[in-house]
Amino acid sequence: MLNIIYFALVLGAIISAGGVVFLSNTVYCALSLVVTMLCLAGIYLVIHAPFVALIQVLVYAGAVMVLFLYVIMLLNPRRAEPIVGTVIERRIWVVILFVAIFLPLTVVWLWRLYPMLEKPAYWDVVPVVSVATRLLTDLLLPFELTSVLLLVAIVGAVLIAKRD
Amino acid sequence: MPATMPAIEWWPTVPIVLLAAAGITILLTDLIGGERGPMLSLLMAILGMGAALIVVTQRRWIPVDAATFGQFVRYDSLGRWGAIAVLSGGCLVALISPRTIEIHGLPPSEYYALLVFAVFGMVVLCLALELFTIFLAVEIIAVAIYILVGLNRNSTQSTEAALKYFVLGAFSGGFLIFGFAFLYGGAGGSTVLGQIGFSMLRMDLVWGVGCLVLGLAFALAGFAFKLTVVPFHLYAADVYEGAPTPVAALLATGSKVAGFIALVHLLVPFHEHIHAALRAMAADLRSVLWLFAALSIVIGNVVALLQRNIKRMLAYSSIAHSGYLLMAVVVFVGGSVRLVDVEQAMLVYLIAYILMNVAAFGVVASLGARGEGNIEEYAGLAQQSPALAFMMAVAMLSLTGIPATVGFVGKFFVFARAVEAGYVMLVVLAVLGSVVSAYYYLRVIVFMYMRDPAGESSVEPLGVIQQLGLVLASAPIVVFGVFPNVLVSLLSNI
Amino acid sequence: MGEAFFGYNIFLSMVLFALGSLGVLWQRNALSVFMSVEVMLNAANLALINFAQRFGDTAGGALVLIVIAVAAGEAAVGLAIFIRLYRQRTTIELEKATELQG
Repeated sequence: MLNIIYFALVLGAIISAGGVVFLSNTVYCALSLVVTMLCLAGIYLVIHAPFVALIQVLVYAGAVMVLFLYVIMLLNPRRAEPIVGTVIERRIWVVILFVAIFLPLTVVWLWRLYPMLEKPAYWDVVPVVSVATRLLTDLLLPFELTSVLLLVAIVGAVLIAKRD
Repeated sequence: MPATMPAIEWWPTVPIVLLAAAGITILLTDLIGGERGPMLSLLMAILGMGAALIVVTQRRWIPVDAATFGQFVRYDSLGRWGAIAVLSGGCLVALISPRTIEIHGLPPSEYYALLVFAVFGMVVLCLALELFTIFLAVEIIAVAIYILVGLNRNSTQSTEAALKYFVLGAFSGGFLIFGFAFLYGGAGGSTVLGQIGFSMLRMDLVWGVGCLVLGLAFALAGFAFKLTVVPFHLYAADVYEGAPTPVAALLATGSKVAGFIALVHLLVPFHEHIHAALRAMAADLRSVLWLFAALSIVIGNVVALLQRNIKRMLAYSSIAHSGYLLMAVVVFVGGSVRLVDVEQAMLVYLIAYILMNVAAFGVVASLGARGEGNIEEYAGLAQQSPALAFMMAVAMLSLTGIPATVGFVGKFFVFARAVEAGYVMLVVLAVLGSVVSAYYYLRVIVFMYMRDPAGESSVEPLGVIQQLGLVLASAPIVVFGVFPNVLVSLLSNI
Repeated sequence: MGEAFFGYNIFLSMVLFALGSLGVLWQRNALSVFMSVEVMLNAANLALINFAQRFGDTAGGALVLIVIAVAAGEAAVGLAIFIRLYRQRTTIELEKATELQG
């Protein structure tokens, strides 16, 4: 049963990510991204990381994507018209490049690395308490740096977006 | 499990904290500012960066190889000197900013605050020895600079440059974190750089090396975007052209210096040849880096020839210089030259690079709208403002690598180490590149000294601060060029 | 039970990352390009949490949170830039951003 759910989630994630990549209507693109994030949150639940799943839904799919949708609605971009010529040429090269780079990588993973890991795994839950403990002790520096980053981002976002 | 605080030495945190505090304080000065606001912000920025600079240089406060936050941050020689270079570069950029702020109407306190935060990120990046600290530092620099690039409200070019830099930066950030995820996984869960190498080799070899290859490939791609190395250099010229000139200077100098130092830190396991498997990988890595270096040198120099806008020319020139710097990284990965020597060569070049570029961009910034245009606009500058023309000439000569300038000293050190490591062909290519570059650097000098000024436009007199910044950037170019041993002994003493 | 999916998860993470980077190059609207970057970041998160679970290191979980925070901050600034560009030119298609010659 879990297998079915899991593979449905994987399929959902791949298809909706494909939607983000290939859809030309920006609103549909954003909604696809939300679906991708929710599928990933489901996968996080399957692998026993409920806290991360929670944060993914609340913060990522919830706050960040809502911000995206606000901006998309605000900007109201027109549907991108298909143009013959430069766009199609570039896209052909992109697909070639893409296949050339990622095919060997997935091959490497599937043939060399993955089989190696059939050994019994150590599997742990990522509990909230220990995450919080790590953040405030070992990982104190990244935590503080994140706060500086958010400060800079806030200042900058307001500065750039405000009307005079 | 009881919580254990990491080992925090307090003195090593002081420079970092000082910079963050300075940034925050500058943001607050806007509230109490008034007309003295801009001056106050500049003063705080210089004070903050200057104080951090002083603390970083003191061995008695921060001993050699002092670490804090449990090895996440360490003052090894590269890191310490990188921080010194970045802080000096930041001060110089702050000093050459007033004219641009005045002309384009940039908000001064936010500008200086973001500048200080960007320098904060750069200092942390130089000192960081842990994957996520590196990632966060890269992102802090990136976000601060996205904003700085787009700060000019009156210019659509500025916003477009910000857009392009943002897309580029976000894309490369994705590569970086993906690569780091695999380095983390390959090491079986440790993120401190020193431990990753050992952890990976304690695990199954195929797993460790496989993840290392994947992780390193993506992380390198992420860094290559930031360092404007070919083939990841695409939007660089647009960004430099559209951004306010001092911001372009910061991008070209501080951001790259910090990036190169972080790259070397990441590649340390390949210098020390821990394991036979890594030795084989090191050879491949070297070939890839060799290729990138060669491409950057060739493409940077050739395309710079074709540029008529001075900021675009400087952008492609800095792409070429990234190529020369990457040569030093290739030598580093080889492991055939002593670590001390390679580090010294890199640091000399980095310091030279900062000085020359800030001087050049500084003159561009001082000339206002005329300065940011095409090279022809520089015609007759020698007659109108001999001092500015002289400083620009010094910067151009140094960028070419003419002897008696610090640019020559930097190139000499790097090329010498490269020859010592056996990369003769690459050095020949680099020398050819420098010869080609002479054309476009010296062209500026020709325009300044041997042509008559176009219109009656005269050069507005510069403020004291602007002049100070220009002098502080250009004087060492000559001083260190004529007396390189001063620079070398400085480097060995700190 | 969740451990059986480790291999598939990493594979999925690679596929998503590949799709995301394809999207950056494929899409013409800057907002969609940035959304593809978000897909890439999510892929990295997936890999991170899987490695953290597999090797029992809580740091991975904490770092996923940090990556989400970074992505949020970057999104804020990026969207602000898009808004500004749109106000100035009423289009955010990358091909039309040609004032700077590229």
